[in-house]
Amino acid sequence: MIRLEAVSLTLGHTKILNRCSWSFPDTGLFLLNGPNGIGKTTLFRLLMQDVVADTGKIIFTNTSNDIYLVPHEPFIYQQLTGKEFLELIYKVRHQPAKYQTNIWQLCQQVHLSRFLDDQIRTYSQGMIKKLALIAAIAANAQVLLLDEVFSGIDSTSIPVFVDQLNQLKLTHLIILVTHQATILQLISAPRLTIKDGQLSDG
Amino acid sequence: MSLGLWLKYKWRNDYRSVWQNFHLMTLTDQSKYFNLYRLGLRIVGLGVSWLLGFGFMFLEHQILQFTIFTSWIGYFTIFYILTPYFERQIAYQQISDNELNFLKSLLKLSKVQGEYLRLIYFIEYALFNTFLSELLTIVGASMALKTPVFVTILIAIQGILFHFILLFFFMMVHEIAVFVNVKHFWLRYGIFGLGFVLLVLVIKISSFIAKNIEPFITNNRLHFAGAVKALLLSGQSVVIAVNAWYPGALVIRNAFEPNLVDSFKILVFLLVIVSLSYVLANQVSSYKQRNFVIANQPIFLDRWLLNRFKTVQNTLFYVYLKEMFIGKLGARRRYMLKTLLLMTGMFMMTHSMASLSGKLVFTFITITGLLIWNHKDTYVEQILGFNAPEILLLANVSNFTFLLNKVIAGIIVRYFEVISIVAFVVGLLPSASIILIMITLALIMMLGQLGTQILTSPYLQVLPSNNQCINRDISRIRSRISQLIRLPIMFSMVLALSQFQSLTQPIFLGAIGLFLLISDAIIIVFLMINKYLNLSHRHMILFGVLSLGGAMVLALNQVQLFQNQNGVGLVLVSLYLIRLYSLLWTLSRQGHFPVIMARNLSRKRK
Repeated sequence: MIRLEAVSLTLGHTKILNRCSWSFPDTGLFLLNGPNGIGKTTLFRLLMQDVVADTGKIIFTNTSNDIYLVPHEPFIYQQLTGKEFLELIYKVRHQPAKYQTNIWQLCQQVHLSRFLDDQIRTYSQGMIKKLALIAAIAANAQVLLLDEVFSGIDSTSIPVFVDQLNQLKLTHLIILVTHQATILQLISAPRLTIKDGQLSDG
Repeated sequence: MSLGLWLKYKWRNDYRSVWQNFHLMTLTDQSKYFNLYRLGLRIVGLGVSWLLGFGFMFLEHQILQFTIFTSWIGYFTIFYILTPYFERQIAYQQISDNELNFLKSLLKLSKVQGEYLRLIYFIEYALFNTFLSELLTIVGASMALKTPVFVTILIAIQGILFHFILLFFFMMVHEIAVFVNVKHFWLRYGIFGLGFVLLVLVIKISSFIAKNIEPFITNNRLHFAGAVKALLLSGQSVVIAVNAWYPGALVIRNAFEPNLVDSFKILVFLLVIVSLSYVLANQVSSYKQRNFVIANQPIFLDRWLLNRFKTVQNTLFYVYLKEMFIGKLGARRRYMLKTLLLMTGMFMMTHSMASLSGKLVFTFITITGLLIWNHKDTYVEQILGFNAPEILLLANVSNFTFLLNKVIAGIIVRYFEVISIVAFVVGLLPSASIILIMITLALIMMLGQLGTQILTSPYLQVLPSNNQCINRDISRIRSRISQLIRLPIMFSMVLALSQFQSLTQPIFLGAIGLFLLISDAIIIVFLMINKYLNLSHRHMILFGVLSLGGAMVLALNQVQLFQNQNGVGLVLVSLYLIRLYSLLWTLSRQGHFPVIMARNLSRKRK
């Protein structure tokens, strides 16, 4: 569980959070939306301890440090092949062979498998997004923070990923930021927004 | 295990990255000759490394006539004590912030663990990539001084230890500095202050040795190279004088004459550094866990000023305080304090020096250093708006008085550099008539800038503070122009000092004044031409350098500087042109100089 207790955060002259309190359960999928600049990405940075709250506490139970963030522009080793990158993820995260098989199947379903032996630098933006999202799933972290991960991904692959997230939400906590109407229609999940420095039901 | 796996893939990625797109004519990474070519490059690189070590020691020992012992201290200082500070930045480039975030996700790392990882990777990187080069450098150095192999090995082992421990220390200091945000200003200046105190101490210690150097300087008169050599020799004396506690000297002594006491001292020093780094790292960690409120707290000086203001009867005092010390990110007080600090420090140092040559060199270092140091203080030029509560507090003051005081305060801030330089020179030069001349020079400088001031002065306009977009544009343009304006000031000051004896001649004053006026006029023309003709970057640079350089040569001829073959003057001219070139390059990268456009825009918004 992740619990925010009276957390305040100001960046520059903008007050992002103002004594905000909120609890995320251990599992579930949440959609975080709202206009640009309200602090969705900053909230992710806060959870990643990339920025420090001015006041208040963020309490992690059962999820300490096992948070996987896929930012809007994901970091990927460009010189590795897609296969090597995924190998890096599941080897470092000690994933069992069965899980790896699922990942390769997922690559096939989203039409990425035939590019896996190519270096990532040759990939299109959409392919990089797909790979980053598959890597996040392969990492099998307790908490997944996904920031605009679907932008650039073709419409035939999106339902596959949505299915994956729907399965993962039973055992993981997923917070997804998206502005795409198609995703919002496909996913049935509680919606959150940040308003006047408070997290609230959107 | 996880770390090893990650390193394996990271190394693979980096290796491919280095050689990717590496083409030499038809030679690509697919070619069978590629490895041969790469080997050739490596051999050339190693040759350069050897040459670096050999050349460095040759310079120290043969040309500057340092002893073998001091030469090694110099080598150790440069390669193992000073370089870690700069390598820290390279280490950060090896793992970017984006990648660090990825690794935090992948390897479940905390922020501090991430920093450790950066260091580990850098060590790995350094060992694999620079070990041979470093070895060859030290072999070159050793050959130049004919140092025994055993001593060389001892120096290398201790050097590598120092290298990485100091690197880690600097990384941790950086981490703390980033974390505490505004406070890192005090941290940096704290370190600087400490360094400065040590430097003054060192100068004091070596002052008795300076007497021996005095005849040398006198014989060489104003010869720049002579003065530099004298300074270096005095530096050598300093190192010898303080080698009892200076770690570099300690290490070298221990390498030449190994003994347990020195080894113990070195060990203690390293332990202190390691412990300090560890404490710093853990402080960061604990701060993060407790979510301490640090980043956005007003720093001490702000609070002090605001509290004082409440008790001050004359509210205009606040106008001065705000104008001088309160600005975005503390830029104004940083600018004021560092100018003052540097000037005071250099005054103390030059004051204790007996020779004119030394004074001239130090003056040059001071002024150049100050101008380069202030280079990035763009916020100093930003217009300060007053918010509603402040205006309410100032309600009992008439608009005219308020504006007048704001302008005066602004001028003080704007000319603080000039005022400090004048004060510095007044303290430095002995004769009352010269002091008067210097003050006259300062006045000429201010008059000379009148043209550009009319176009650019922020203090003659009162823009609303919420007009941030325009304020930002104007302040950016203004800061660039102000950098240009500083050049003639710098130049005229050093010229005045280098032509010490000529200061009493009216022709000299006239030449300086002429130069300032011409250069200011050129700056204005330059800006306007660029606005209308949209010159390419290269042309802008060429035009700027030629015209300002031409104005300078014109002025210099008036005082017959070139005929005197004065080393100081020639070196300064070169440096002036280099600085000018870099400024114009920066300017050109900003695109146009839309001064007039910005002003029009400003009017429209109003």
